Amino acid sequence: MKTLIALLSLLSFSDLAAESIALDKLGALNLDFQPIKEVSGFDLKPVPAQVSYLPGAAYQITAPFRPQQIDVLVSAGSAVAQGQRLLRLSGSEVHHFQSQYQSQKALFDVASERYQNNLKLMKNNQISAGQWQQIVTEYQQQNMALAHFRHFNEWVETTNRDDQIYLKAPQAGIYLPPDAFGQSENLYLGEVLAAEGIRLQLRLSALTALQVTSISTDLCVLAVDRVAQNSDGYFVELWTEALKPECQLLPGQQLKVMPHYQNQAYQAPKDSVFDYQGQMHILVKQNNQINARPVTVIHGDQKYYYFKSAEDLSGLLVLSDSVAAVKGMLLGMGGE
Amino acid sequence: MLKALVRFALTQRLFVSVLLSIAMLMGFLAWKNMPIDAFPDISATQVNLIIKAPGMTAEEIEAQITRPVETELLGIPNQAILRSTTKYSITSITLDFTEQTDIYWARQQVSERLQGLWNSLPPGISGGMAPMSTPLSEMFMFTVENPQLSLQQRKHLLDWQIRPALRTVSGVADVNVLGGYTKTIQFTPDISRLQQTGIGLEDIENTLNQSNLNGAVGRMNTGTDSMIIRTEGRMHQLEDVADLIIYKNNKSYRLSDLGRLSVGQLTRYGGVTKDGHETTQGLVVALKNSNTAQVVAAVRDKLSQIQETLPAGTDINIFYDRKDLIDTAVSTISSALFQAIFLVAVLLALFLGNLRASLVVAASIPIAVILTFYLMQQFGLTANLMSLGGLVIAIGLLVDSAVVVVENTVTALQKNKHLPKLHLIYRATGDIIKPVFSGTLIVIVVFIPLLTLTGLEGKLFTPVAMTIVFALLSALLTAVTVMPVLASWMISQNRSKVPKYLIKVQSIYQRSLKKILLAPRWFVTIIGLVFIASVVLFSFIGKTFMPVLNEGDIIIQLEKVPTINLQSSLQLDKDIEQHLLAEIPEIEQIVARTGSDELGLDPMGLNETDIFLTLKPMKDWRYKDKNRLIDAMRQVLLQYPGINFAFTQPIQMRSAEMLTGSSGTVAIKVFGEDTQVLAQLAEQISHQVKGVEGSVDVQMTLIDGGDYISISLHNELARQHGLTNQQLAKLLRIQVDGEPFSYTIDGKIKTPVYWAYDSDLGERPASVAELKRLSILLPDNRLVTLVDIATIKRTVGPAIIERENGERFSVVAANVNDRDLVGFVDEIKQQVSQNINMPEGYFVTYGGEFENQLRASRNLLTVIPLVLLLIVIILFSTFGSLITAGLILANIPFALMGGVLALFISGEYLSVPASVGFIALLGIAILNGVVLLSHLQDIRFQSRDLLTVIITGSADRLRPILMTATTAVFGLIPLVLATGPGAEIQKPLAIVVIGGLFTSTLITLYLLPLLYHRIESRTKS
Repeated sequence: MKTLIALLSLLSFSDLAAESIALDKLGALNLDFQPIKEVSGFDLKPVPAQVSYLPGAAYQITAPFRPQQIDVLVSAGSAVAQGQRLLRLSGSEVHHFQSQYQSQKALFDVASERYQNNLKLMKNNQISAGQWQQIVTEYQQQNMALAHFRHFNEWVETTNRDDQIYLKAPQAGIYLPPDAFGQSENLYLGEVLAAEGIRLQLRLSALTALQVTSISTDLCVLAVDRVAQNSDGYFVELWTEALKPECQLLPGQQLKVMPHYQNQAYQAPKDSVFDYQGQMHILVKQNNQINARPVTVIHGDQKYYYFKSAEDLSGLLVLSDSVAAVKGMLLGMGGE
Repeated sequence: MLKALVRFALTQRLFVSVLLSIAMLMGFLAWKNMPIDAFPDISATQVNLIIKAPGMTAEEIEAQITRPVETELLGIPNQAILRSTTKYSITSITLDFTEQTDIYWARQQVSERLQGLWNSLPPGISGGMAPMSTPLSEMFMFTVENPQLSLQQRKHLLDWQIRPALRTVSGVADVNVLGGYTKTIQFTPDISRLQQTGIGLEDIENTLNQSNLNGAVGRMNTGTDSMIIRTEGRMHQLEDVADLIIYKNNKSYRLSDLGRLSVGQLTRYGGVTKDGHETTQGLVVALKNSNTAQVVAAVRDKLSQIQETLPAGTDINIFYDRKDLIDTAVSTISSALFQAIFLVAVLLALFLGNLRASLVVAASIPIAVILTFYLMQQFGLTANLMSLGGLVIAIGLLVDSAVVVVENTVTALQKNKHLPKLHLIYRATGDIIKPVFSGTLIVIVVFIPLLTLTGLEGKLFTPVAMTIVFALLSALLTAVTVMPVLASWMISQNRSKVPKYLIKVQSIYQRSLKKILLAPRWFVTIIGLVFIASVVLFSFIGKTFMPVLNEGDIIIQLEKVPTINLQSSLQLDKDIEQHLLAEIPEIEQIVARTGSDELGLDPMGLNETDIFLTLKPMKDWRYKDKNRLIDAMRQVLLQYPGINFAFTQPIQMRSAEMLTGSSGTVAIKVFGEDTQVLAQLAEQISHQVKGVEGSVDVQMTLIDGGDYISISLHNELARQHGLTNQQLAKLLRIQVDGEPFSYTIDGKIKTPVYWAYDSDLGERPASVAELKRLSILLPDNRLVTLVDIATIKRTVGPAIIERENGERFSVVAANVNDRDLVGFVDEIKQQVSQNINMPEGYFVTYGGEFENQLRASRNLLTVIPLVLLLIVIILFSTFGSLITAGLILANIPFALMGGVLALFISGEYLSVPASVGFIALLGIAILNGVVLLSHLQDIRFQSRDLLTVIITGSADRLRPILMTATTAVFGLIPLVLATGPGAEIQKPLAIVVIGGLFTSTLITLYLLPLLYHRIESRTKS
């Protein structure tokens, strides 16, 4: 039993002794010490992102007819002011539309006049409820029909040609025309995105997404505004704040961005970290000794590793040169 | 018949002269055309397989490649040993065949079996049979220096300009390129783009490989002509690859739209540094059996031709040229040879007192030497340290027959002036031709044991023995044909005075012999005491296999922690190089090689470095010898703790590796199955060896220490997304290490196209955490991170697996300093058996030079008794008396005691060369005995007084006996005094012979007459 205890104590002592080496034992090895920095976060590896817009942020422009010719007057994705001409619609269908609008207006006027005239009669119970219901229905139908034309017509600028009109931007923002104009009666003519709704959209692993606080592009940094609380199984969706002008990004643009991971960690040069007894370690200078300290590496970039430690390492110096040789010493190597 | 030969020579003197001239011419031409090397070819018939399996661990390679290949190879007949070393990404399998196996047959056998097996080995592997070279074939090394060029450009020069040119040189097996970066075209796929487009990696691979080729169409007759038609699609450069169009879902994409194309470099498995800076190295490997000196000269010629075509400022810095060693070693031996010839000629003049006679005898040396060259060429021997050393040893012996013939001729001519000169020469030669013949025959016979040596010692000493035999035969032929002819022309019948000192010596000898014959007790007592002393001292003499040849260069082997990466390993190398250069001004330049070479001939790990030191001439040194210089270097290296180091030399390192599979004088191998147990046992043995006195450079194969990150795919998820292990491995390989999938050809330059991520841009993962976050595009076009679909954990496994004849082993290698090898190994054996418990199924073997020494001793102990028997038969046929034969043999042990004393006094070890010295001594002792006893028997009945007969007869033979002894001694003195490379191997031999000749001559001159007197007195009574 005594032998066993002696053996165990010898083993534990030798282990302790092996993890600490006096500086004067390091001979002519090149020794370079760097301070360990405490950081609040770090950039992850670049991930793909896209300039998109928040759902519902787009003002969709539709036309109640299909003109023969549609000329887009502004470049796709360009910023437009409210009321700025976006499209020129030409052809007989424009003329028909205008005629239809005038007809509808006349019909509405008739229905409106009839409605106003019969309103007094209804109040005086001079007409029957059935007659009044018919008048009101007719009035509402014509009003609705006219409103359909009127809303579109609000952003229409007529010309001296009755077969041509201009369509103006309903709001300031970015105009995005469709890839191709369809053939349906209720024609989609594109959308104007409000600048506030244009953001970077990216997908990150569910494990990291919640800790990502901002996104860096080559030209700007954008805070993460929204993180979806659901996942497709592996990834969750993130939205940044609205794009800043200095980002110089265009809607639909795809790019690589660097997510900034918010996590309190230590930072040290890559050459200072080594694997020892199945765990990553660093060699910390304390007085005239260097001590091997276990760390948990959570990330690395071109120059540095970011790691956690059970001990407070801030401000300490870490060995960043000849680390492999010192590891050899820890393993009992050296000599002829 | 011998007399008839003498008569013919004397009657046909002109004819003999013409024949001699022709023989001289042929001998001279043979010397001019003889291949010259530093060492004889000591390699066995060996076939080496090198198979590279990128990304595979040692255990996986062993299971999937090494074991199946070994199983297949084990069936090949005539094999001696099958060894293999398996490491990360590479396995090297070496099959040694028995002696005399034809190398081409052996390679064909291996090739056939490998071909049959190749398709069943894992995909993606490359390699096969290594060039037909030996481990000693690395005979020319250089670095390519040009500060204007990047490492990649310098390697490009080596790969595509220098290497192809040097490979055209006859005798060059291959040119190994080390260090630098290999240019690749690198495609880094943008996973998000691939996901958007639905294009998979295999779509890109297929499209590129189908587009990147020139198709053969055929011939078209155009009028009276025939035109060859082909389709062109071969890509030549990066831009061609970038423009590749990939069509998917009715849309076209350019390859450059799907990722980043750039110029990259292959993952490196090694590097080269020179004086603290990275560089690139070329290593010329000579073909087995090629003429090294000629190959080196041709390589130098070719390099000077290439030099003009290289970019301005490019310097080919040659730091190792085997020819330097060859020249130095051959010059050491040649100078010893010329000095020996001069000394022997002077001695002859002094002894004979007749300048003309001495010139006649001296002429026999060059004649015999030139004839020996002719015989060497006819028997396929090369000129090297060993064969030329044999010639130097023979110088002292080959004049013996000529001395006896000429001395007898001079005596006869002086005694019988009235008879015709030719008749006297014929009679004088005829009288002694029988003992001369049998004496030479006996000396030849004593060298027979050397011809029976096997293994390394056989390869080293067979040329020595053969050269000596050729020299003695040439000398014998010269003595009985050329000597009488030359004597007839040059020696006059005028009485020449016997030198006064010789008369005085003869008279002293006669007086002392008479005293001993009358009162032998004190003499016998002294001889007996000296004999006993020599027997006792013999046990104190250290024993070793072979003295270490000083090659002039030094190699320092470094071993760092097994998991070190290349960058850190190279940085430590650079630090050490700069420190050595600063502290040791004797170093001219340092070239260090870390990790594996491109061909894989020496698959070292990233933690292993061979530092090659080129030294300044010795006159510029602060130290007297190399050992002191090494001590100074040792002090520098000891300042780098945590790094193992050892000193060796280029040929020494390769010979040791070839013989034992590891470098070290003693190699202790532990066999067993579990690598962890093997590692523990090796550690324990290493600890024991370090504790044994005299152990240096104790090194252990770091069998344990391979750290792995194991990734296990979640089977359910994998099936759900259609992902297999193979696909995952490929996807990870692309992101971690890169993988080739095509190549471009631009003229003669072939550039691989790689899937790869750029490590310089930090795109490759560098921690487990990053590995977990790695993006993986699944076959169903879904993007996930690795940790979503797999478990990642740390495991440990063997970094290296060594096998011998199908069994795993670990090895502890050590060198011995200031101690005899056999005693050292005996002590290790004792320590290991006492202190280490071998688990069941595990066992230890002891090898290395120690093994060779045991084998050599066994061989010699078997053959020497047979040789002695043969000598007895020869002596019996010469004297017709077993007693006389026994008398001569009884002389031998006393003769050998001088050799023992000389070894002890000089501090040299008993080695194979020393043993050869004892064998030579045996021959000389017998020869002297024959010379004396044959004369005593001839004059036995000239007087009734036996004492007078013995004293007169012995005095008559004093001169030839002293002449043979002193010529042999002075012939060997240059070897003892020589200091250049090559001298250390022949030195123990020369010391033994010189020491032995002193006692042997004394015994022949005093003990032999005494014994003869005793025996004859009894017979008479």
